[in-house]
Amino acid sequence: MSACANVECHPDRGCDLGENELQNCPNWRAAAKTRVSSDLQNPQQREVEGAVLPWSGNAFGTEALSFVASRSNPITIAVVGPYNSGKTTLLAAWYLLVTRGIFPSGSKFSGSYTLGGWENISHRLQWSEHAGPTFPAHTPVGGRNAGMLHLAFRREADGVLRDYILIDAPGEWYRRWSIAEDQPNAEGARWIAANADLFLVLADSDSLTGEERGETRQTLQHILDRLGSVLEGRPLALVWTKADKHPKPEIQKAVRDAALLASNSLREFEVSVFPKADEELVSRRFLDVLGWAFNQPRRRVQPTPIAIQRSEALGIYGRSFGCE
Amino acid sequence: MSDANVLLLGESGFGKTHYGTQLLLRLRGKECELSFREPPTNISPFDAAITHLNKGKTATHTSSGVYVESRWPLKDTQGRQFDLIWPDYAGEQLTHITTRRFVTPEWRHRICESSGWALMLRLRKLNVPKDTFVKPLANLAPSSSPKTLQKISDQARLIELLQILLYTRRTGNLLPITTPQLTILLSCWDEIEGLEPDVRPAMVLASRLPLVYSFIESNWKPSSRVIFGLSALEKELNNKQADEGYIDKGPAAFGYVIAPNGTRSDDLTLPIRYLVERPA
Repeated sequence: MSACANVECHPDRGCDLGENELQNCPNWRAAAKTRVSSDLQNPQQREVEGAVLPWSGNAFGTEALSFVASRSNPITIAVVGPYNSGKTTLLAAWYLLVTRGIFPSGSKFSGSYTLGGWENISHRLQWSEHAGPTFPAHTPVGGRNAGMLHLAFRREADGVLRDYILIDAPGEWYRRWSIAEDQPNAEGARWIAANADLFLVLADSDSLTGEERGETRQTLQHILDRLGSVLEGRPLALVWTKADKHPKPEIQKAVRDAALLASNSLREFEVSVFPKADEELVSRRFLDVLGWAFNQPRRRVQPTPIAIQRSEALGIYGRSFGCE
Repeated sequence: MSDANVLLLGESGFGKTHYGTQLLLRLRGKECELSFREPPTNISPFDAAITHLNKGKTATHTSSGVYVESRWPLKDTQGRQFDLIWPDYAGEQLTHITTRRFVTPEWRHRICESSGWALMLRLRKLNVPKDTFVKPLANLAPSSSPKTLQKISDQARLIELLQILLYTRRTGNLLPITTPQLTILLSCWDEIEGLEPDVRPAMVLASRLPLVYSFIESNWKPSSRVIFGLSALEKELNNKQADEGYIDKGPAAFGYVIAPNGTRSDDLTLPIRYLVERPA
C-alpha cells in the first residue's frame, strides 16, 4: 500500500521521518524507481476501494489536528521549555503511566490517534535537533509544525469524553520567540502561544544548578515574560524538572518571580525520575501535573478555526451512525 | 428471524479455527444454549480441523488468503431461530489492517455488516513489554542512541485496531457505544499462569492489558460488552503427539468457558448467545 521504502510509513499522512518535503526523505527517494503509480497520485481511487485512515498514528501536524478537532473541541496543553529541559521525558513518563493503567483519578483512557508517536517517545527520550521520525517539530530551523500528541479520556462522573492535545516543540522555538516575538522563524511558538489552552513551563533544576545556570535562568525569564504578555488569564504551571537537583534559593526565586509576574494564579510542581527506590512517589508527582492539566477549563475564546482538510473528518466521530 | 453476523477478530495463532470447530461440534448436540435447528449445509471449512481434533492433534494454520463464511441455522432454548454467520480466516489479515493502515473493500464490507464483534485475545502471546511497563521511570534518562523505528507495543496495536474498525464502521465514541456489541474472549485460558480460583475474566484483562481494558471499559456501554475466558481445547494439543483422550472421548468432550462472573461452563455457545441475544 505504501509507496515508501519503509512499509510502515504512510507518506500520504505524513513522512515517518518527519520530512515536510517527501523528496528530502531517504526512504521515499529509495523507492522512487519502483514507485510506478503512487497511492498519493490517486487518493480518490483508494478511497473508493477501501478505507483510508485520516490519522497516521504518529504525532500530528497542525493539519491533522482537524481530525480530532472535528469531533470535540480538544484541550490543548503546551509543554514549554528551553532545550533539554525535560519536555519529552515528561510526556513519555505520562504515556508509560497510562499504559500501566494509571490515570488521573475519575477518568478512563478512551483512545489516542497518536499511539505511534507516544510509543516512539517512550522508547527514546531525548529530543535532538536531528529530528525524530515522528515529530515534525524537530525539523531544523524553519520547520513550522509542532509535534502534537493526542489522548482521549472519559470522565467517570458524567461520561463526557474529552480530547487532549499535548504540544511538544523544540526549546529553540521558544527561545527565539522570547527574544523577538515577531520574527519570522518564531512562527511555531507564536502559533502555540495563541492556540494553547494552558501552559506548562519547565524549569530544568539540573541546568539551573550547573555552570550554565545564569544563562538558563535568563532564557526562562524571557520565555515567562513573553508568555505573560499573551497569557490572558490562561492557566500556567511552573514544573521543576529533574527536581532531585536543587538550584540555589536566589535562582529559584528569580524564576518563580518571573512566573508569578506572568500568572497570578501560578501552580508549581516538582517532577523527577529519581529516586528509583520510590517508584510510587515518582509516578505520583508526574501524575499530579497531568491531573492538574486535565482539570483546567478551556480558554474562553476559541482559537482561530483550523482549516478542515478532509470533509470526511467532519462529524464522523460526533455520533454513531451506521454504514450506508 | 434475523441474522447474527459475528465479526470474529483474532490475530494469527489466537485460536479462531479451534473455537470455530469446537463451536460447530457443540452446536450439533442438544446440551448447550444454542444448537442447530437443522444440519448446516456445508461444514467443509472446518472439516480438516474436525478430523485433526478427532485424531488428537491440532488443526493446521489457516492459509493466509483464505476468508470463508459459514451460515449456521441456529435456535436457542426458547425456540427462537436465527442464522449465525461465522467466519474463518488467517489472522494475518487482521494484522495487516494495522500495519498497512488500510482497510480493504472486503474487510470494510465485513466490518459494516457485522452486528457484533468477538475479539479473541491470547494473553500468553500479548505482552506489555518490560521496557514500557515495569521499567522504572528512572530509566527514562535521556539517551543519545540514534533513533530507530520501534515496533508498536501489543496494547497500542490492539487499541489502534479497534479504533480503525470503529472508524471504518462510522461508529463514534463521544457517547459510549451500544452497537456493535463486543465480546472479548480471553483464549487459551488454560495456559494463563497464576490465576486465582474463580477470578473474573475482566479482572484478568485489567491486570494483564490495563490500557486495552480501560479503552473497552470507557468506550462500550456496560450492557454492550462482556468478557469471557475461553479454553476451546481445554488442554494443549500439538500436531505430532496424538492426545488419547481426544481420540477416545471425541473433541466435543473438551473445552470450557469462564463466564463474566468467574464460573466455569462447558457450554462453548454462551459467548455467542450473549452476542446475538442482547438488545441492540
